[in-house]
Amino acid sequence: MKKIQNLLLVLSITLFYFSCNKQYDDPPVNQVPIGDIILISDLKDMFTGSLTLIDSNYSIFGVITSEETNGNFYKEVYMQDLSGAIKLKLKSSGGLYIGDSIRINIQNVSMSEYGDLIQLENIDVDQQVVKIATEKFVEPYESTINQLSLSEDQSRLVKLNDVEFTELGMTYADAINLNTGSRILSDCNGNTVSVRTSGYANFASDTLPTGKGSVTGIFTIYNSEKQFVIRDINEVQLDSSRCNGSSGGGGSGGDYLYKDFDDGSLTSGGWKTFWSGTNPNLGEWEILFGNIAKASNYSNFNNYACESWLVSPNIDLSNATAPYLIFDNDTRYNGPQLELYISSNYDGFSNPDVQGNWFELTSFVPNWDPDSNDWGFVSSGNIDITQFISSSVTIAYKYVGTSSNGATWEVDNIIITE
Amino acid sequence: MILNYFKSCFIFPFILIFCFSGFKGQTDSSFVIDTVKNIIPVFTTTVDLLDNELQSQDISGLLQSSRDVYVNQAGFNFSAARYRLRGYSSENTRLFINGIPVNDPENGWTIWSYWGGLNDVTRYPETSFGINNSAANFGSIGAYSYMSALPSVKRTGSRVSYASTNRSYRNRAMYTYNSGLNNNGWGFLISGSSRWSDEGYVPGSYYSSGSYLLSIEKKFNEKHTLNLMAFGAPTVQGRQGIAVQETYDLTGDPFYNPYWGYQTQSDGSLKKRNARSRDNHKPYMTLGHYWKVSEKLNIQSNFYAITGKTSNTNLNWVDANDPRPDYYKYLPSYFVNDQGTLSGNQIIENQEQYINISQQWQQNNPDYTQLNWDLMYNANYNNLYTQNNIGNIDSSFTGRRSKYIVEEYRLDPRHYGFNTFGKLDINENSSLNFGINISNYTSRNYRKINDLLGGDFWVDIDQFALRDFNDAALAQNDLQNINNIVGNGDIFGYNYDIHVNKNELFGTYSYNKKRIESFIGLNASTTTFWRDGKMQNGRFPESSLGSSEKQNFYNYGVKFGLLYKITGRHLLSFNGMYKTEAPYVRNAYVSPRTRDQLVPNLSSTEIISGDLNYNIRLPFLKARLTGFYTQINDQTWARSFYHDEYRTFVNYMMTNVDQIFMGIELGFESNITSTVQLTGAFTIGDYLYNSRPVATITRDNSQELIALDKVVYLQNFKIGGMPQQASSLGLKYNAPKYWYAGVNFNYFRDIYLSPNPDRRTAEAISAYGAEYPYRDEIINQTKLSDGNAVNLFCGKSWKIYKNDSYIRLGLNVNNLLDNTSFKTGGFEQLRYDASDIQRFPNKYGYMYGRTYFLMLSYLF
Repeated sequence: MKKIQNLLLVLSITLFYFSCNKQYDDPPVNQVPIGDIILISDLKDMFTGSLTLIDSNYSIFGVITSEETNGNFYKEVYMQDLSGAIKLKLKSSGGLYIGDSIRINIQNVSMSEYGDLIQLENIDVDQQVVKIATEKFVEPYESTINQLSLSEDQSRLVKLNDVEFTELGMTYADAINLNTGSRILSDCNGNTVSVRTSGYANFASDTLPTGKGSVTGIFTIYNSEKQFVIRDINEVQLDSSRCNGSSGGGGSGGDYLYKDFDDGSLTSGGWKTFWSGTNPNLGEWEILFGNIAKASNYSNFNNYACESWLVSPNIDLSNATAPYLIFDNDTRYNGPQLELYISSNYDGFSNPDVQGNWFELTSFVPNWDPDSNDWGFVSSGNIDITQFISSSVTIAYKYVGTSSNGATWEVDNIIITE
Repeated sequence: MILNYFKSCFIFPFILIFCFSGFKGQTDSSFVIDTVKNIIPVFTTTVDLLDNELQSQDISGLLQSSRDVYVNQAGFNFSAARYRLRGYSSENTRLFINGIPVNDPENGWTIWSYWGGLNDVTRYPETSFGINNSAANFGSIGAYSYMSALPSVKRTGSRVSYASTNRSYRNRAMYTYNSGLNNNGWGFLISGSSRWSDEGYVPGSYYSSGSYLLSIEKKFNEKHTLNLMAFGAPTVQGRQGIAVQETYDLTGDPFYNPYWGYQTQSDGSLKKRNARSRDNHKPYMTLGHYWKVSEKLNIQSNFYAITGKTSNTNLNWVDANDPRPDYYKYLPSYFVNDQGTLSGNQIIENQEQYINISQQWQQNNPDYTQLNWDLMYNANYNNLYTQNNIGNIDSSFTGRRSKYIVEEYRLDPRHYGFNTFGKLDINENSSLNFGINISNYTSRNYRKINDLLGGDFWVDIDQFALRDFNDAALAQNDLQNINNIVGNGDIFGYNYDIHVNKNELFGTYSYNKKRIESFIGLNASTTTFWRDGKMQNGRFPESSLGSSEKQNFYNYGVKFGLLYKITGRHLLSFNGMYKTEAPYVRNAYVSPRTRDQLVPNLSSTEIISGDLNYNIRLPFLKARLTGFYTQINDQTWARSFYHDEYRTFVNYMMTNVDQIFMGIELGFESNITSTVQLTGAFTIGDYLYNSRPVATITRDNSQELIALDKVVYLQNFKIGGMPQQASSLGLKYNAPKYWYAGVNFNYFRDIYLSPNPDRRTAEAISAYGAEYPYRDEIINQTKLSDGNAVNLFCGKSWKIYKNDSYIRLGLNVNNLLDNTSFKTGGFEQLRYDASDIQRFPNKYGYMYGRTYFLMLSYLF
C-alpha cells in the first residue's frame, strides 16, 4: 500500500510538470490621446518655414495612399484627407498600408520640409497611430502636369492622363547599384515631371514602357521641380500610341522585347550576362561603339577558352498569338557558331548553365552572318517562337570560345514582336 | 583487490551499499564488461552535472560515472569549461539505456536532458572510454556506456532525496524504489523527480522539469526474462543567451541575458518573460527479452520506441523593428561605428544618442537592456489589416495582424527499432560479442505559432521574398495555401519529415590469456535517408513538396585492442579503429526547411584512430597515461544562422572537413595515507582542422546560391569551443567517522573560438591589400584567456541501525573563489563585415560564479 502511495506521489509530481508552462496576462492597451482634431491643410499652415514642433494636443485623420511593400518607399508613407496630403516619415519601417484609415496624435511631433515638401518627422506607428479601418481607398485626383500646384497638390495621389516617357530603353532605376532613377514623363505639350524610383523597388529593373497613357502615383516636389513616385507598377498604363503617332521609341508596335543597346548598357531592361573562362574579361559580352553587344575571346594573338551568356529578361508572351524573334548579327574570324537558346522556366537570375531548360534555336535562325572576312550586320530574319508561348519566356545567346580559336560576334536590335 | 574494494567501501559508506547491492544484481546479469577499468573503485559525488544546460556536447554525466581514474576526474572538474573528452563531439559516443540506443539518428548526439533527473537509475552504467570491446554495438572512438534499468540489476530499496542549489534549477526532489526480484520472479523499479526554479542562476532563466521511469521485470525461469520499461523527462526551460562583450561591460553582469523582458500583468505588476523557451518531452519505451540460451550463450533483444516532441521558441516579426535588445543597432557602439558617414548636426545627434544609450545600459534600464513585451503587444493590438487573396477561394480577412509573434520550432521524433546482441563464450579463453540493430526513424519538423501576442492572425508569406521579387507566388511558403491565415497553434513556414533507416551488424572476437587481453571487431551498416516535404514552397515549387530521392550509404569498420600485463600491476594496451560512417542527415541538405537540395559532394566520413595506454595499479597509486591520435576526415559541416538583412536563415555548408585530434591524458589517484588521497588529471591536446573545406552558401528565401565551391582556408585552425589543455589536482580527506571533504584546483588553457569559415576565404579579404592593418583581425583565430576554478566538496553519512537505513548529507561548492572572468567559449558571428570586423563582434559565455549543491538523502 505504501509503495502504491509512493508511486502515486511520483506520478503526480511528474504530471504537475507536464502542465507547468508559464502563463502571462495580455498587457494593457496604450491609449493614444485624441485632443483637438485638425485638418491636414490646417496643420501645414502651421509650418513656420523651419523645424516646427507641435506642442498642442492635436490629432489628424486621414487615409494612407502609399506603402513600403514593393520597396519604392522606405520608412515613409503619404496620408491624405479632404483638405490636403502630407508625407509621414516613419520612425521604423512597416505597419501602414494603402487604404488604412488612421488617426495620428501629433503632439510633440516635428514638422519639417525637404525641398519645400512638408513632412512630419519620426512617426511611431505603434505608439502614435490608431488604425480605424482598412481598404478605404482614395480615388486619385485626375490632373494634367500643368494644373498641379506645388503647394496645394504636393503629396497628393494623382493620376496623369496622356503622358509618355521620353527616355526609352532605360529602366526605372539602377537595381544593380541600388541607385534612384529619375525618368522624364511628358505630356504631348512638352510639360514634364520626373518619375523618381528607388533602386530597391522591385520594378526598378523594368524597362520603361514605350506607349502613352495614364500614370498614377504620389505627386511630390523638390524645390520647384515637379516629381512623381509610382506606388504600384500596375498603375502605369502606357499602352496607347505616342504623341507623335508612333507606338514607341524606335521599336515597332506592340513589341514584347526591344533591345537596341543604344543606352550603352548590356543589362538595362533586365538583361544579364554570365561568363566563365580562363582569362578574366576575355569573351565577356561588352558594348561596342556605345550601341552594339559584342563578344570576343581574342587578345594579343591568343584565344582563351570561355563560355559567355547574354540573357534577356523574362518576357510574358501569354497574350501573344504568333510572336517571332528577330535580331541583327555580325561575325568575323574563325570560331564556334554563336548559339541561341529559349527557355520557359528560367528563374531570372541564375547562371543558365545550371538552371532552366534551354531549347537550342541556333539551327532555326534563317540568316546567320557568314564569316566573310569583313564586318557588316545581317538581319536574322523572323524566328517563329509561337510554340514557346508562356508567361515567362527567356532568350539567351551563348558565345563559346576555345583556347585555339574563337570568332568575334556582335548582335543588336533584338526584338520579339508579332 | 577485494581488500582494496572493502577499504573503499569502508571509506565511502554510500558506495558500500552500492557495492553489495550492485554485486548482488550483477551476479544475475551476464552483460558485465570485464575490463580493467571496472575494477578501479569509483567515487561518485552527490552532485552531478547530468542536468547541465549544454545540451549537445556535454557528456560530463557520462564521464563522471566512469571508474577510470582520468575520465572520472575530468567529468567532475572540467565540464564547467566545456571540456570534451579528447576533443570529440558527442556523436562519437555510443550510449544505451536498457537496450535502447539513444544517439539521435539525425546528428548522432546524446542529449542528457532527455533523461535528466533519473540520476538514481543512470548513476552507475557500464562505461568504457576510447576504443573498446563494447557489448551492445560496435562502438566508436569516444565513449561507450550501457545503463541498465533492470530491477534485478539495480540496488534494491528506496531512496528519497532533496537538493537545494543555485544553478539552472533551485530545488530537486527525487524518489526511487526498487523491489528487486521477488520469489515469483517479478520485480519493479520506479523513479521520479522534479527539478524547478522560478529563476535560475542567470537572470530571466527558469526551469521546470519532471521525470519518471518505470521498469517491470519478470523472470520466467533460468533461461527467460522479460522487461518492460518506459522513461522520460518533460522539461520546460527559459533559456540563457550569450551576448557581445559590450553588453557585459555596460551592464557589469557577465550573465546578462538578452532573452527576457518584463510584461505587465492585469494587476499592474511586472512579470519576467523569456522569449526563448525550450519544452521537451521524449518518452523512451522498450520491451526487452533476456535469454540465457546456455551457460555459454546469452542473448538480449529489445523492441524500442522513442516518441514525443522537442520544441524551442523564438520571436519573429514582420514590418516592425527588431525587438531584440542586443541587436547591434541598439548598442552604443553602433553610434560610434557610424560616425564616418555622418556630417554636421548628425554627428552631434549621434553623440547625444551614444551618451544617452550608454547611460541607459549602464543603469540597467530594462527598457533598453531587455525585451519590451508591452510594446510588442501594443504594436499587434493596433495593426488592423485586410488580407486579400486567401487560398484558392480568394476570400479576404480583416483583423489585427500580428507584427510580433512567438514562434515554435518543433522536431518530433518517431523512432522504432529492434536490436539483439549477445555473447558467446567459445572456450575458456575466447568469446564472441555480436549483434544487429534495425532502426527506423522519422522526425516531423515544422514551425508553429506559439503566441500571437495579442494579435488575431499571421500571414504565412516570406516578407523578404515579397520585397525582392515582383511576383506574389514567390513569397508564398505554401503554394497549396495561398496567403494562409494562421493562428495560435497553427503550422506555418515549413513542414517536412526526415527519414533515416539504419541497419547495423557487428561482431567482436575476444581472446584473453593470463597476460594478454585482446579483441578484434568488425561492423557493417547501411543508411538510407530522405526528406518528405509537406509544403510547396513558392521559391522552390519543384523541390519542396513530396519525397526526395533516397540517399544510400554503405559503411564498415574494423577495430582491435591488445592489452599486455607486464605484471598484474603494470599494464600496457594499444587500441585502433578504422571506420567509415554515413554523413548525418542534419548536415546533408542545404536548406531542409525549404527544399530537398543536397549538399554538393556529400560523402561518408572516415575515422582513423589509435591510442596507447599505460596503466598502473599499485595499492597506493592508480594511474593511467594515454597517448591518442585520431583523424576524422570528409566531414560535412552545416550551420544556419538568421541574417538580419536577408530576414531569413542563411545556410552555410562545408564538405571535405578533415580534423585531427591528438594528445595525451594522465590521471592518477594516490593514497598518501589511509585517509588522505591525492588525485590528478592532466591533458594536453592538439585539435586541428586538417584540410581546406569547400563551402556552399544558400539562403532559405531565395534560389540564389550565395556561394558555390568556395575554398575555406581552415588548415591548421584550432577546433574551438573547448580547452585543449586542462589540469586538475585534488586532495580528499576521508575521515574514519564517515565524513569526507576535498578540494580540487583546476586550470584550463588553449581555448579557441570556432572559426567562422567565411572569414577564412580569399573573398573575405580580396578587397584589402596585404598591408591592410585589420587583415589579421579578419583572419586570425580568437584565443581565450586561461581560466581556473576551485571546487570544494564534503559530506557525511549516518547509519540508522534500527531499520538498517542511511542518511547522507553532501555539499559541493563549485568555483569557490567566485571567478566570473573566465570566458569558457562563445562564437564568431557568422554574419560579419570585413571592412569593420567589430561591427558584428564575437559573443562570449562565462563560467558560472560560485554555485553550491546541497543534498540530503535517505536510503531505506
